[in-house]
Amino acid sequence: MSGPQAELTVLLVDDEEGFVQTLARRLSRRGMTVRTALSGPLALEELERGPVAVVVLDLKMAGMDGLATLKQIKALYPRLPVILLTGHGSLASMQDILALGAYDYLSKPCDLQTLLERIQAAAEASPGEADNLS
Amino acid sequence: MSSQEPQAPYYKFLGRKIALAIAVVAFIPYALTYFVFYSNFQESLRSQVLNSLRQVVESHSRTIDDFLNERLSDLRYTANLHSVSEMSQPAEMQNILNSINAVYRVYVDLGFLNAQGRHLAYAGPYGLREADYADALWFKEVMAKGLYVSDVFKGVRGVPHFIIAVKVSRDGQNYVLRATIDIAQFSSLVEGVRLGNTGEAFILNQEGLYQTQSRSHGFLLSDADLPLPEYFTGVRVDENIIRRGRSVVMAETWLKYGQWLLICQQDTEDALGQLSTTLHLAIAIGGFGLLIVTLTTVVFTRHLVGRIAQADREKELLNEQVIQSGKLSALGELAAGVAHEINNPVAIMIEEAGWVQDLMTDEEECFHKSPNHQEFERALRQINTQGQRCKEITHKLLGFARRTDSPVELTQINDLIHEVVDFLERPASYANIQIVQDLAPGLPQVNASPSELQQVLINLIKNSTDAMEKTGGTITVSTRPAGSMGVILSVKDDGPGIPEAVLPRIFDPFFTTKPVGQGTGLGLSICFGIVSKLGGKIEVTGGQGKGATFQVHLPAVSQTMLAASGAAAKP
Repeated sequence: MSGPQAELTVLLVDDEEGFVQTLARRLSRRGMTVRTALSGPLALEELERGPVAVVVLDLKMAGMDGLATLKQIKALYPRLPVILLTGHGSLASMQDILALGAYDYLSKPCDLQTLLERIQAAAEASPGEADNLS
Repeated sequence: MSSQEPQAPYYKFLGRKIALAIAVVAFIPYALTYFVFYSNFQESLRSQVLNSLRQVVESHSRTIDDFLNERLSDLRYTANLHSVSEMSQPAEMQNILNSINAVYRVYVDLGFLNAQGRHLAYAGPYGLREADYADALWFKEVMAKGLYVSDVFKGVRGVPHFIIAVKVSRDGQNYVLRATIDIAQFSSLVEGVRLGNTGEAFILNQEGLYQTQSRSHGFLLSDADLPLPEYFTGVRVDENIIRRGRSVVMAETWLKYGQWLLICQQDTEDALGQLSTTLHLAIAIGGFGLLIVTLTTVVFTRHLVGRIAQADREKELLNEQVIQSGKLSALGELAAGVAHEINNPVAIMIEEAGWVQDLMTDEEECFHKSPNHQEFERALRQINTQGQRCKEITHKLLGFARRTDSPVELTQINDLIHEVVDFLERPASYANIQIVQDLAPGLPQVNASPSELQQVLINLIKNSTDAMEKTGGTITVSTRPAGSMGVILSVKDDGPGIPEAVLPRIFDPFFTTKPVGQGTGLGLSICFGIVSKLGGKIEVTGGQGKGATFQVHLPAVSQTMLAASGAAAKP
């Protein structure tokens, strides 16, 4: 389960605790360092605590939703790649999401292998340049 | 069945109100103008007729007065010109008579009398040489007043005539020069008056006796049976005088200082005949005008109400489309929410299954020993597979939802058909209905709102599935190019078909053959409205027992539009 992604730290943000925990376990199992947050504000706090290579962010969350969180993250860490996960809960155009600075988006439920590839690609797109990397 | 029928009384009422409003607006000025002109015209014509009568009386009054004055002047002149002895000679008197008759042969006889009323000389056809007028009224009058013009009377001869006389004074002696006027000559002055068919003039004396003959009413010296007015000056004109049972217009004036009354009269019908004809013509023109206004009002009102009814129907249809569109939009929002709510648990489920799979991999040896390890793996794959299926279903649903408000764009109709059929074929299969696609490749794109076109296709397929709900069957959705017309989309079923009698009304709003509560009658009319809006047309064929085929002709996108679209797509 080791590989290039073994060095990566991923922040999973979703208000579905069961989903976050299971996905975190599966990504950890594949060598990633996974940190989790159950809301947008908690995600911002988590980012302050330490460096993250890629953020995987759910679009529809209670309170501060994915779009608002994305805007905050991009405002604070413009080069930090963010992958949005969506349950197609909104009719908002994916083009608009990308225009806000998201690196990519995936629809739930997504294939784990696809997610790993997108995380890897996102990390390689800005290696060591994420704003909150020390 | 049709939406118009229940509303027919409303449009009748509306039609009556509009017609009444137009009629009031058009009729009142028309009627006012017409009656003002009519009454002015009538008054003008009437005045013209009466004035012409007045002028006849005035001119003839002057003529008669002139005639009498001239005769009196003749006698005075003669008396002045000749001596008493000359005028006392019968032969000379004859010469004088011949002389004054030389120009106007109006004198019948001429006599020269002494103060005792006896002829000193007489010239004329009557043997009046010895006549004694000493007690004659006229003689006394002329001796008293110096001149005299008599009424027409028969006198001693028993023949109607009238005389004029002047007193002649010479050497302290009084004489009278008297002449009889030819009544025919005098009468011709007024009897020649002709007005229309019944107009005439005549003279009455103070006793109401005709002094000249009346063509229609009486002979000379007969009683006219007319109430004579008090003396007045000038000419008086009266209308609607009933004379011997006939209505007449009459102009009259006093002559000879109130002794004679000159009357010019004409039957009212005759006098105002032209007026009457003209007024009848005016009434006919007025009536014709009213007829035109009425016809125009009726035609215009019918046209207007027809247009209003049509506009109402279109508005109604549009409203239904808006409502339908709103429903679809709301459905889309709902579907999006549902998709999210389903996708999240499905995602968790798949992740959990994946996690179990991971754990089984870690403990591969242990699990391989289990007799059920293959069943575990199959179950996990099945969870994953069904999770992906859920995802596909929700994504399709969202695909529809996202298009509910999509604008007009270049659309490949075959792709649209794939999506719709994919979505509908499963529910159709529950009723043993198979949906077959027979799509021609390489079709031109059409310019349409995908959601609207989707709605057309759904409505047509749903129409067929409803028809075959109990029997099952096959629906064939096909496309083919149609030359300049673009694309023909066809939805054909082998259901019970549509009765011939129903075919002409199949696209009418609210027309349905389904039981009450099971169909709105709007589906096909919405299809018709959408296809028409896109510049295409929709047709239906098939009769009872022949199945039904709906053909939608959609115009292809023009090269210009394609070029514009291509240019717009370039960065």
